[in-house]
Amino acid sequence: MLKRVLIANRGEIALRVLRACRELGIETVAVYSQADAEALHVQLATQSVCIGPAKASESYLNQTALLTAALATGCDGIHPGYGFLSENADFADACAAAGLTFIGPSGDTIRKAGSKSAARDLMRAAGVPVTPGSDGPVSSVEEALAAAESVGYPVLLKASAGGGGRGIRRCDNAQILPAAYAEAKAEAKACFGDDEMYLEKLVLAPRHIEFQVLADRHGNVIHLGDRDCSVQRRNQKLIEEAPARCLTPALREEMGQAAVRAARAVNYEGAGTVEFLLDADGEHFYFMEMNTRIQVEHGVTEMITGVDLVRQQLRIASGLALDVTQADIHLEGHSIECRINAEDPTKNFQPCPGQVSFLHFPGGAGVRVDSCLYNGCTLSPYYDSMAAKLLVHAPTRLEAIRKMRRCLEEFTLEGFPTNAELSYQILYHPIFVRGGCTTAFLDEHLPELLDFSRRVEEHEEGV
Amino acid sequence: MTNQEIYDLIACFERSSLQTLRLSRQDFSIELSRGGAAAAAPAAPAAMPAPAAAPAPREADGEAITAPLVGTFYAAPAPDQPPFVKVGDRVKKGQTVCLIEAMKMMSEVPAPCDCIIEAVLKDNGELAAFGEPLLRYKPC
Repeated sequence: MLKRVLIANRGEIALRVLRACRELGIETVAVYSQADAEALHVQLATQSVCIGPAKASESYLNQTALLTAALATGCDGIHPGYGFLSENADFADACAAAGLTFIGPSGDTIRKAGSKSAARDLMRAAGVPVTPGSDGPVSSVEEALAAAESVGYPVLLKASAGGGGRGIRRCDNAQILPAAYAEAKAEAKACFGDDEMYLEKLVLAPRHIEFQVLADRHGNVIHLGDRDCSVQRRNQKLIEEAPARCLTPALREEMGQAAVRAARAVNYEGAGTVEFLLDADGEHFYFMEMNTRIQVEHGVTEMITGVDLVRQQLRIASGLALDVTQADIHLEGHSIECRINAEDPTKNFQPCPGQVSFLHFPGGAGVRVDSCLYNGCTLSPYYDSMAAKLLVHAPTRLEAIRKMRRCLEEFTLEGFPTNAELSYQILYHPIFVRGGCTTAFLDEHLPELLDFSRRVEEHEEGV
Repeated sequence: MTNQEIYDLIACFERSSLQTLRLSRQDFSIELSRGGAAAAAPAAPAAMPAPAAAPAPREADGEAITAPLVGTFYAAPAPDQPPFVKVGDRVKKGQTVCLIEAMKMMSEVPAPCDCIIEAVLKDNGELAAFGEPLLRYKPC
């Protein structure tokens, strides 16, 4: 078993890892930037080292500083958390080269799973459904038209070298495709110096369904069910739940097996997530990407399976075999998570960090709060705005919704605005209550949800 | 007030033409004066004793050279060689005063200005965190 682990992260996930380490009798070394000197993880770790100034590129992303601190404090493992260096293949390699166990998959696996086009080919070869599209690149308008015809409109034209939304065009019919093809090609040439294009079917109003997997070094790969993360805005998830209401037991089984095949295809080790898009009919699912780290929303899976995922990560990294089999995994009840962010939904989600002057977290049976906040602490403006995760677990989905509403009523944070009120309104929205949210839900209904809040405020003022 | 803010304040004070500087906040007060001339400070309100709890900075505290990166502190260029500097040494701006090793890479730490070394604050081979004071100096 690992003896001493450096936690190369901050915020609530640093605390989450620290707690798992303490429960396993592993010593912890916290690292922090000058802006985080008073953070909770620094205070609770066995020891802590300041690794740089506030700027993440010089602290939490500074590989040399992290490795130096790990070696100088006698660590045998590094937990990268999520974000920062968690999916950096070079860092995983550097840890191995320095004789440290990177708590996650190998650099090789991260590279295979991380490259969009390579992952697509690997997954197709492993029998994991990917969005239908051209077989490899399309080299002319005629080829693109033929490919689009065979998968059906609407389609997306994408630059192979693309990223950040550049070199992508949506085509709803054959008339606009030639012009879009020329534009996207020119943009790709200008942006990436490479104008190779491919084509993919656009899945309209999909749901974001992901599967949690665990894989050890002994060839055991299991999945721990699914999460529905469709309530999101610009790819930022807001509310996650498990299990997804829209999956039939047969489809869940099929997707779970696909997730296990996906993990095997990249020789996965540790905790990972296979993300799928589920189409509007709820019948076809397509591989989207694989996340080679622990995820923010891992807690909802822990609630319904009773498996401590971070504990499993630490065990797997220590070379131990999984102590649960697929047959041991039963999904019990329903869990929901709300992310509380220091941002103001009424001002276009503008981040608004500040000092917490008063804080009260909800409690009671079936409630879990993961947060780095404490009374009087300052949420720093240098990093992401997530302040807390509220999780609930109840026998049925409706009971979980009611419990979460109760938690949000109880939750009190004074000092800066949060999105808690918006989440509360979502939990009352008929589409959410019916389990009908797609990834388009939040964008489409945001004005209406904000209006609910505004009217409640006006009413309260009137009284 | 952080130590760094105190160091900054001292630096500003030294560059100014002020003879004394007194700063009071709710829970903290500091008084700086030049060349032991504190007694000459004009018309201090005699009836106001300084709060006993106020952490008066030690007069001897100079500025500190801090670690520019996290790593192992070395006072000498090699184990069998004398240290770069000793207490009382006068060093030129830019002169190497110690080394920080991070991942087998040695970084030389230069003196920020012409100065006299007043104290070496780290043991040889000890881990220095980012921003941690390594040597105390007095500009000259």
